[in-house]
Amino acid sequence: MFNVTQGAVISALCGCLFLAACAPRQVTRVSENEQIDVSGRWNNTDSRLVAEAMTTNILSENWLSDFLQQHKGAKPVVIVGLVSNKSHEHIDAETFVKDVERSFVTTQKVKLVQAGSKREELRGERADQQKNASVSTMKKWGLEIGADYILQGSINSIVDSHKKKNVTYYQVDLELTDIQSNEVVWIGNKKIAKYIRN
Amino acid sequence: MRNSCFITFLLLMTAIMPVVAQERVPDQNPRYMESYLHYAPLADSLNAFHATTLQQTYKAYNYFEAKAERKAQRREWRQQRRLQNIRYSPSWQYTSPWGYDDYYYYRPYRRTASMFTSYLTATALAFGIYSLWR
Repeated sequence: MFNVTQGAVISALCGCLFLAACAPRQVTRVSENEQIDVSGRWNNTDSRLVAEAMTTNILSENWLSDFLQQHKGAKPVVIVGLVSNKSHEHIDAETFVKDVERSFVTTQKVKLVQAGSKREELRGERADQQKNASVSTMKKWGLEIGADYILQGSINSIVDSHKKKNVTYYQVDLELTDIQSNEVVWIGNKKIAKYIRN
Repeated sequence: MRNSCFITFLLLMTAIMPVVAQERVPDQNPRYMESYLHYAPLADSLNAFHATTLQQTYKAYNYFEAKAERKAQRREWRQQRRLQNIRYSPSWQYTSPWGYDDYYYYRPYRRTASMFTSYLTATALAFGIYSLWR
């Protein structure tokens, strides 16, 4: 059925396939700023773009200077609230909200207080100190700093697709609200649109 | 009853005391206490979501994903049909893995291998009798 040459070619092809299947996986470290889009879904580049836009925006807007003016130079205290992901993908807002928090701490323009489960853990530790720590080092109750503002947000998306073409639009909104008056003092948003062709 | 009333009163007073201790501010709503009493017991559950992402995602339509899902569904149904066919085929005697046969369960239309054998025996006997008779 096959002559010797054809047999040799088929054997070589099979050998190549076998070797390709056995080849080890290659992993290469890349820069975090490098844009690599594989599937078209939300990725580290999108998170970085949102973080960059929000951090530059939130510290340069009028709410900060207004607060400093009204409170004779006292820094505003911010607490991070809930971020709702109403998009079509699983997105954890912590990847970019943490960058915003970090900018508060590094620039020293805004004071940040702990929230959520971490705050619960702190209170647990304080409760433990009441029984186990020495009186001189024991931390007291009721001396936490009350936040002036709460940072909340939402992530939304719109998907338009037909067969091989797909346009995905993400909108990330972060809002800063005065806890005393419910006044929204800052809204930052970042819009990302992607055209994906399969 | 008296004790429980006293405990309730104490709890209420403990809840109210910090607010009472606050001095009234000009233009403050005089009914602020109602709001405080409403939200004070809910504070823990409301604040538990601070610094978290609430996932309220939706499923977006994608042509290729929908096609792949339809294919997977068809494959699953085909597999189920195959299993059903094996389960009720006459040449297969089911033995339960729990150590007892489910022969005693009420399944009037089930065809088993033994029934199939008895049909064969009856047919062979009938054929033999007919041959002798002829």
